[in-house]
Amino acid sequence: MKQAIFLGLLILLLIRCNRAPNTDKLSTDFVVLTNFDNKANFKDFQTFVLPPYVSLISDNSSDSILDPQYGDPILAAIKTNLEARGYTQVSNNHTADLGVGAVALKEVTIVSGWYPGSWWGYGGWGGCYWYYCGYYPVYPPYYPTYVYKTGSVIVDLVDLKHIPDQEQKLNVVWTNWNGGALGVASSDLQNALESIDQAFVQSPYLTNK
Amino acid sequence: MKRKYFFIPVFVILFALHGNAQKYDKPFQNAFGASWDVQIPSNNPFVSATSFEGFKLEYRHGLAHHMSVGLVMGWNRFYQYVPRQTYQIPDGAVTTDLYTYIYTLPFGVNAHYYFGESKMFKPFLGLTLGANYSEQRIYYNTYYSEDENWGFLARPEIGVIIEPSPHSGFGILAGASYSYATNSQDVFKINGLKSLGFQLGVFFMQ
Repeated sequence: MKQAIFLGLLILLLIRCNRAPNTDKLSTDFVVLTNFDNKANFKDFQTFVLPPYVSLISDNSSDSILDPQYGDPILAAIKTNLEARGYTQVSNNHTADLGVGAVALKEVTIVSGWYPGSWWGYGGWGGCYWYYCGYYPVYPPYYPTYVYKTGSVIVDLVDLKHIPDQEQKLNVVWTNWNGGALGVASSDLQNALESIDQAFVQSPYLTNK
Repeated sequence: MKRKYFFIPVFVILFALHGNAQKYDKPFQNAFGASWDVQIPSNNPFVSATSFEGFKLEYRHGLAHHMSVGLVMGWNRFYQYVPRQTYQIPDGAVTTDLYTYIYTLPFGVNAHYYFGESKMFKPFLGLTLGANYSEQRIYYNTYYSEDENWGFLARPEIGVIIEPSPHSGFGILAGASYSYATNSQDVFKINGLKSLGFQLGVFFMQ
């Protein structure tokens, strides 16, 4: 009976003590997600209009525009890809078939976890931190707390050609979310630009040719 | 009650295999084993890499007729890196590199039958029936997706206890097993957790 109780307690302990694996091979390349409206006919669109800037949402509520140093290359990458798919840029919202939306998100994530190298080891991005994401601060104070930033760049294509008369709402026909951990600003920008290119690569239907 | 009847044919077979058994011998009074457990997944596209991170703890109570019954629990984790690639999803696609990860915690009751009269070697056949708790995760960039589930576990095994010094109460445990658990997860396309295992450990007998 004692053995059974011992084993039962051990089982409960091990269920709680599960650690994340060493994820040191995991890259910092953004995750690239694309979705499209399967009712949309992308060959039906000819022109697009870009926004004047990339919007910014961050933990600093006074910032609403991404620094053009980073925002302009993002808009340029979107333009290049859309033109490569046969769409033509126009400057007037009223004559464009597609409206481009571009938003950057920066957020601080607080994570509680074990020190790097503890137990099964920790070798880079990944590690055991994430499993505890969201549980802070219920853990006792001897667990160290880490703060890291995550970022996202979201690109939308809005149908400006077929606006329902009655509902007066715009339909988003394509969305692209690129996200991950942020590091140095220059590498984050490069990461975002490569992600936008990848978003178009994995969306072969997005063309009017 | 059904489980009890399930055991009966198993041990009828074991007896048939060992007709010369000294019927009333106990292999030992009580025993504890702790083993390093290496598991090789079988037909599992989610994680196919061999797991070297696992162990098994067991208690065995000796019975007459060269048998023992007891309790067992294990701990294993499987994971592998999948380089960056594009996955098709409904109305879209995702591109990332990732780690797939499975954590298992099998436990249950076991029964063993021991062959031979050697004081140094105790070969055995065994069967574990129980439950398998499992967590499955995908890690990508700073994110992860996970699920957890329970399954029924069946694990036949074969092995040997080597007692270098007879009556010392200390032995080396070596064994092989095949685990089948009914855990399934639709999104990760997991339909049962199957693996071939090899154990090497220590065994303390009274």
